[in-house]
Amino acid sequence: MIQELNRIQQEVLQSVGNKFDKDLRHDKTKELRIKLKNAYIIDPYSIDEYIARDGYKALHKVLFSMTPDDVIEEVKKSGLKGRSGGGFPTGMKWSFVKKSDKQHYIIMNADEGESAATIDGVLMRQDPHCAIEGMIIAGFATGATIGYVYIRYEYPEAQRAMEHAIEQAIAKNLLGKNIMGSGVDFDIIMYRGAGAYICGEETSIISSIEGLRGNSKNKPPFPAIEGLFNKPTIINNVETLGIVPQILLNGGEWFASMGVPGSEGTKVFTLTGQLKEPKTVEVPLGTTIRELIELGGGMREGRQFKAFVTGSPNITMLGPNDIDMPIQFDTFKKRQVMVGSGGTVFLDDSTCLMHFMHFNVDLLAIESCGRCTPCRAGTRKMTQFFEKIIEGEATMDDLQKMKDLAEHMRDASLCGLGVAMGMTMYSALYSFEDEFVEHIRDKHCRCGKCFNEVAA
Amino acid sequence: MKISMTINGNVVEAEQGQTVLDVLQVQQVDVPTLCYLKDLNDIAACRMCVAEVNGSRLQTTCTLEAADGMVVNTETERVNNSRKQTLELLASYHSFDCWTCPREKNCDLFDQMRLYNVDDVFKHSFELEGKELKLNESSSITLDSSKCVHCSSCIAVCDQIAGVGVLEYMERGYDSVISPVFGKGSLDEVNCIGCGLCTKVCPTAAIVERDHIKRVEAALDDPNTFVVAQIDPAVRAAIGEEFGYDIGTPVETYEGQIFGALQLMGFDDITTTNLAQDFAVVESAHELLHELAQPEDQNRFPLFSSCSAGWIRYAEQNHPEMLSHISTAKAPHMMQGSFVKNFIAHDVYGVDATKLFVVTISPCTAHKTEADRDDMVNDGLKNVDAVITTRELARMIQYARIDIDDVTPVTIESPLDHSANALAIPTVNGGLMEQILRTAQRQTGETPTQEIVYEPLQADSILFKATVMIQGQEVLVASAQGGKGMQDMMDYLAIQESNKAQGLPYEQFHYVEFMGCPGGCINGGGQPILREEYKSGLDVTTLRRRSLEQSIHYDNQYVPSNELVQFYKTKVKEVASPTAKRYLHTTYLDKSVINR
Repeated sequence: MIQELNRIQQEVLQSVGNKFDKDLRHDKTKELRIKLKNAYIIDPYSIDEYIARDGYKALHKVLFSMTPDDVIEEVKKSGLKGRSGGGFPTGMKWSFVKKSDKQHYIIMNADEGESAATIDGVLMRQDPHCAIEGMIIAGFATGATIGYVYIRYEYPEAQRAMEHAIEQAIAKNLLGKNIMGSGVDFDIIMYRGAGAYICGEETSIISSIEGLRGNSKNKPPFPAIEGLFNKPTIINNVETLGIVPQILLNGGEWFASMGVPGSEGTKVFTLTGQLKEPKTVEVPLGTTIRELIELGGGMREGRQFKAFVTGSPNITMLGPNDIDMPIQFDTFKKRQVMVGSGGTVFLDDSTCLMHFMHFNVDLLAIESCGRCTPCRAGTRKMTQFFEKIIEGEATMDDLQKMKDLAEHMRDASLCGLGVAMGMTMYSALYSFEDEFVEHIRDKHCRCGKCFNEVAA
Repeated sequence: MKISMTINGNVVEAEQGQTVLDVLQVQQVDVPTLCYLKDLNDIAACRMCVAEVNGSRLQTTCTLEAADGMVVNTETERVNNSRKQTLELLASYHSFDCWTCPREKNCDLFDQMRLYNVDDVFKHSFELEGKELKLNESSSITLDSSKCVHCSSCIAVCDQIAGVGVLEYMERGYDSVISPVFGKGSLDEVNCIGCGLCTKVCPTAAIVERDHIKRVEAALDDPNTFVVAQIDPAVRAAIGEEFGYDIGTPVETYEGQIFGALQLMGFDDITTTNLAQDFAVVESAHELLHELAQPEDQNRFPLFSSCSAGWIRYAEQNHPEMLSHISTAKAPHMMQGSFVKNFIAHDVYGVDATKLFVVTISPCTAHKTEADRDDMVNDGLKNVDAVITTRELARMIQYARIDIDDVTPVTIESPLDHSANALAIPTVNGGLMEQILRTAQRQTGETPTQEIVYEPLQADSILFKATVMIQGQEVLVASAQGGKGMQDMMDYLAIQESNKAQGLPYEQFHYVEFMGCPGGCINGGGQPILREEYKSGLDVTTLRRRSLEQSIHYDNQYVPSNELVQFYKTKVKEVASPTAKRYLHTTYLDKSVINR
C-alpha cells in the first residue's frame, strides 16, 4: 500500500510542475504554516494532490508500526493542546478512554460557531483530507470505529469538500472496512448542525447528534467515559485533528520544537476587526500581539490599537498595555484570557467598548441553551446592565452587581458558555475599568457613541 | 462497597455508586433542589444543590458520584451566596402574583427564597421585559411560562412515567418556554392524556390543572341553580393533607368538617360517587358475563376497563383499532351525573333537571376533559358540569374564608351515598376490576373470590395479572397503571395477538384494567402535591390507602344495596336495558389524527 501512495506522489509531483511552490498568501518571513501547509496550494477535491504532499503516510505508519498507546504517547510528547478554546492536552484526553467492548466514537467538532473564526472552515474547504486522516488516527488510538463530523449549518462548501474527500478516501481503501489491509475499520458520518452557537460545546454536540434539543449536559461524567449514546466518545476540533497526522509523521519532538515550552506548536488565527488586512494566518505560539497586528497590515490609518479580543461572542480581551504580550496558554491564563479557537478581533480607539460588549453579551443571551439558571437568566441580565450603561442609567452599584453576577456565572454555570462570563468581565475590567467608570459615573463616552438617546 | 467522605467537617460512611446528594439526604443535611427528581430528572439545571467539593469550582451534588475521601462543604459562604444569586436570577423574571397563585402554600421557589433571604436585586426587570409570556390552556392542563423555573421536571415525568412526551421547551435561552411539543398551540392538539403528573412535579405554578373553580362559583352564586357535589372516595383519602393532617390520617378525622365546609359554601346537596360505582360495576359485570357466553370467535376479548379518563384519551389517540374492546360503561361519576339529571332530579331534589348543576370533586385532571366531551350529554344536559380537583376544593374552602377546624362536622344523607360494594377499593389499582369480577361471580350464583392474587406479567414488569374462576371458566385478567404501563400493556397484548395468529403459545386475556395514574386514582393528578414522592421516592399510594383502610369496613359479598335495586326497578328497568345503554353507556371516537 505504501508503494501505491509513493507512486501517486511521484506521478502528481511530475505532472503539477512547480504549482506547490507558488503560494502568494503565505509570507514565509512572518508565518509558520504547518496546519495550513496545503491550504490554497493543493486542489481540495483531489486526493492525489493531498497524497503528493505526504498525505496518508502518517496513517500507514500508525496502522502498521504503532500501537494505540504509542500514538497517545507520541501526541502527549508533542504537547498538543486542544485548539477549540479549552486548551486541554489532547493526548491526555485520549488516554481517558477506557478500552472496552463497547462501541466508541470520535466526534470532530466542525461547528465553528464563533463569528470571528474561520480556521476550521478554511481547513475543511482547502485541505479536507488532513482532518479525515487525523480522525482515523484518533479512532485507532482510542478504539473508536465510527467518527461523526459535526459540521455547522453555515458551511455548505466545507461540507461538500468533506463529503467528496470521504468518498475519495473510501474508494482508495483509506477509509471504511479493513483500511489498507490492516484489519482496522473506521467509518465517518457527516452530521450537519442546525445553526446554534451552543452546539459547538461538546456535550451539546452529543445531544444534537442524539436527536435531542441542543442542550449542554452536566460534566462529570465526561464524554470520554460516557458520551454519545452513553458510549465513550472523544471530541476534538478540526484544527486539533488536522495536525495529528503531521505529529505522527514527524514525531512529537518536531511539533514541540515550535512555539514555547507549555505552549507548543503553532496556532491558526483569524485576524478580524479594525485592521488594514484581515486574514487567516498561522504563527507559532509565543508570537506577540504586536506581531499579529503587523501580519494584519497594522491598525487602520490614524487609529490607535485599543483591544485584542479573543473569541466572539464569548470574549476575553487584552488592552493597549499588553501589546507585547506573547500568546501563550499560561500567560493568558494568568490574566483570565482564553487563547480560544483562534477567532480574534482587533479594536481601535474609535470603538466604544460598552457597545462592543453589549453586542457580544446580547448574542450570548440569544445563543444560551437555556438549561441552567445562571447562564439562561444571567446573560440576559448582563445585556440589560450594558443597555443601562449605554443609556446612561447605570450606577456604580450596578457595576458591583455586574461583577458579582459574572463571578456567580463562572462558579455555577453548567457549561463553558456561562462560565466564560466570569473571564469576560474580569479581563474587561482589568484593562478597561476606567472606561466603565467614565461611562457610569461621569456619563462620558470617549468615542461619543453612548447616551445619544438621553441627549435626544 | 463502603466509602468514607467528609461532609461539613464530619466523617461519614456512604455506599459506592451513590450521588453526593443521596449521601447528603441520608445524613439529613439540608440541600435545596428545584429540578431534581430521583432517577427521573438529574439534569443539573437549577444549580441549587451546589456544594464545594475538594475545594474546586462549585459542583452540583445531584449529578456528582460520591468517591472515597471526598470533602464536601455545603454551608460555606460561597455556596450560600451562589444559591442566593441563583434564586435572585430566578426571581428576576418570575411573575409574583402569589396571592392568586394556586401554589401559594406549596411553592418550592417561594420557600427557598424565604430561606435564603433573597434580595430584590434585579428589580428593574420584574415586569418581565423582553420575555414573551405564554399562557397555554387546554381542557385539562394550564401552562403558565411566567412562573416557570426551567427545571424540566414536567418534561421528565411526561416522557418517562406518562410515556407520552408531549411537553418540550420551545425557543432558546431566556426566551425558552415550556410548550406542547412541535410548537402546537394547546395540549389538546397533541397526545396529552390529561393525567396531570406534570402538575404534581412542578416546583411552582407553571403547570396547573385547568381552573373550574370559576364555573362552580358562578353556579353557587346563582340562586336558581341547584348545585350537587359528588365526591370521589380518593378525594376523601387525601383532602386532609391540604389542611395540615398527616398523610394516612383516617378519613373520619376530618371528613365531617369537609362536608360541613361544602354546606357552608352553599352546595345544595353533597354526596359521594358510591352509588355510581355500583352502577358501573353491575353494568360492567354484565358486559363481561355476556362476552363469556359468546362463542370463541365472536367475543370481543380482551375487554378493557373504561373508568379512567386518562386511559380513554390514550386509547382514542393511540389505539383506534382497539376501541371496540373498551367497556362501553361510562366512568362512574359520569353515570351518576347522567342518572341524577335524567331520572331523579325531580323525585329527590324537587327541581327541574335544567336547574341542576353537578360538580364532581375528583382526584383526576383528565375528568375535566371528560366532562366537556360532546358525547357526555344526554337529552341536552351535560352529565357533569364541572370537575374540581382535591387541590381546587381545598382552595375553594380557603377562598370562602372557612377555617376547617371551626366547622361543625356533618354526616351526609343522600340516597346516592349508599353502597353495598367496597367504596375504598375502586380507588386503588385493581380495585374496580376486582369488584366487577366478584359481582359477576355473585350474579352467576357463585361465592365471590375473597382474595385475588396478582403476579407480575414478566420479571421486573410494572404490569400484573391474575386468574379468577367464573362459571368454571378461567378468566385471565391484567392491570396496567400509568401512561408507560398502558403502553407496555398494549405492546404485550399485540405480541400475544401476533403469537395467536402464528399458532404460537399465547395468553388470552379476558379483562384488562387500565389506570392513567401510577398507583391508581388515590395518587391521581389532582391530588395534593407531595414532591417528596418523586424527589426521594416516598410511597404516597400506600400511605393514602391507609387513611381509607382504617375507616371503612367492607365485606366482599357484594349484595346490591336496596337503593340500587330500587333504582333499577323504578328507573333503569334492568341491567343493560336500552335505557341503561342510552344513559349509562357511551361510545368512543378515533382521535388518532392528533398523532399524525
